Amino acid sequence: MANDREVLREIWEGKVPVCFQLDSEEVCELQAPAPYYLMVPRLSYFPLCVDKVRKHFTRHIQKDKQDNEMWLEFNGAPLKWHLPIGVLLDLHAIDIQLPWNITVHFDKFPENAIMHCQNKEVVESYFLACIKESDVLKHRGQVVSSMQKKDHNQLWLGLLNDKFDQFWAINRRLMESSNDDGFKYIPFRCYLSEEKYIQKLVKPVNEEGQRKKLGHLLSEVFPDQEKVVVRTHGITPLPETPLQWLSEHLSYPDNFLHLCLINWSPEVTSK
Amino acid sequence: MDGIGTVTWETFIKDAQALLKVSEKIHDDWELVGDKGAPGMAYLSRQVKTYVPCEYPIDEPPTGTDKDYWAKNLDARLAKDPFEAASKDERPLITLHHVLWSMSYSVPVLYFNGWKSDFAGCNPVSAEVAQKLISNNNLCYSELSQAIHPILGTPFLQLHPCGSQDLLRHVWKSNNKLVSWLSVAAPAALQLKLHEDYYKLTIADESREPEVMYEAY
Repeated sequence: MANDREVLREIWEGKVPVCFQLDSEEVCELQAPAPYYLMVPRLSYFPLCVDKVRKHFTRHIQKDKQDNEMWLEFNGAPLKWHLPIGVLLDLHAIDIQLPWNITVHFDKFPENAIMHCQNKEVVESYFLACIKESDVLKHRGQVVSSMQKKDHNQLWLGLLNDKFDQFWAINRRLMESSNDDGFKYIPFRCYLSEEKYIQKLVKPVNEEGQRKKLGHLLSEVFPDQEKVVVRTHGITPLPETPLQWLSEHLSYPDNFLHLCLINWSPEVTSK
Repeated sequence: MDGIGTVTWETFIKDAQALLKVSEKIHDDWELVGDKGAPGMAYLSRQVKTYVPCEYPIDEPPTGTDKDYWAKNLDARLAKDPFEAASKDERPLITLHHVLWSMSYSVPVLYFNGWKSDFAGCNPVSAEVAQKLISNNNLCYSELSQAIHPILGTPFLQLHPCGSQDLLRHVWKSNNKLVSWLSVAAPAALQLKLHEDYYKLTIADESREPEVMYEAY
């Protein structure tokens, strides 16, 4: 069980300053609107925290575009809203200076790059699908299926309204393991880029029953590489970090560990 | 995941290769793409261009301004010119189906896209419209949504894999679970049709009648 409450709290409270600016081509006045600054939680998703950004900019775009779906761009590419903000930040860390400058668009939705997100229910169903998948890996899906609809709601509302206690009152059940071996498999994704990630079935213990560490996971995912370094929540956890502990404490609210590769040789692909 | 209601990666590939052999014979263009050696990294793919009747309900619900436009233009649209050549009243629809294997759920998963045009990538069918197309079916596939293709990293429509285990539990006697599952799931994915020749793969001994019969779509 996730016991280090101060670590959970610290992770939960991670925030990042963002400066949103309307794309200059979409401004319909002589003067560009002022940028909009926000502190956004790393654990959240962009569509959950940009209501005010939308409101601020819609007055400055053409009338017929005002009902369009808003989308965000960084460094010339659309930002994938289905990844938690902290994951996007870790993926682009090398190019980001704080505050993080993000361009806002209402026109030319990039259909072939990002999913539509007309409302927050889309994020909710995506988030709950991730929780379900992680529980299939951890407990064969038994914890999620034993939960009631109100528990699912509480998880979602905890994330949506940034309520740590509300979220963890339910999430702790997803972090329990029935025996000393921990979870059946560790839910994780190892990102090579925003588009490409690797997922594998990795157990928290080895065949001798000894607890694995992060280094073991990385060598299972990248057997041909030495010294693979990953970033998550803005930090680079040491290879000696116990894997089960990492999963219980550093997973995102979707219950996956999102690990971004910062040191590897792209020519050697994983097997 | 393992046990009844799941399919291992090795079985998925074996079943996919059996499907490909039939596909080659009947020329319906299924292919296996990706790395068969890495679990989850290869998938079956098929893209076809079809023509659907103009009244086939694949259009987005009209927005406020569209409604006004159609109200104004309806009369003009209905007035038929007796000297005009009759048109076929059909429009192109390109569909792309990918059958992947989900590592978490150990089941096959259908990712698909449809485009109401002559060009793939142009004028896509939305999740809402795709959902409406399956409103009459009685499968437990209410969970049709957009999802990111785990290998290509681009948006597709997806039938969520959590319902697949239930389906697979019912076809455990099948000699090709992938085909049995696909024959049931496919109609929910923009009405993909699986040729009836594939059903033979699901019975071990061809002289025997299948114990679990499914409608040939």
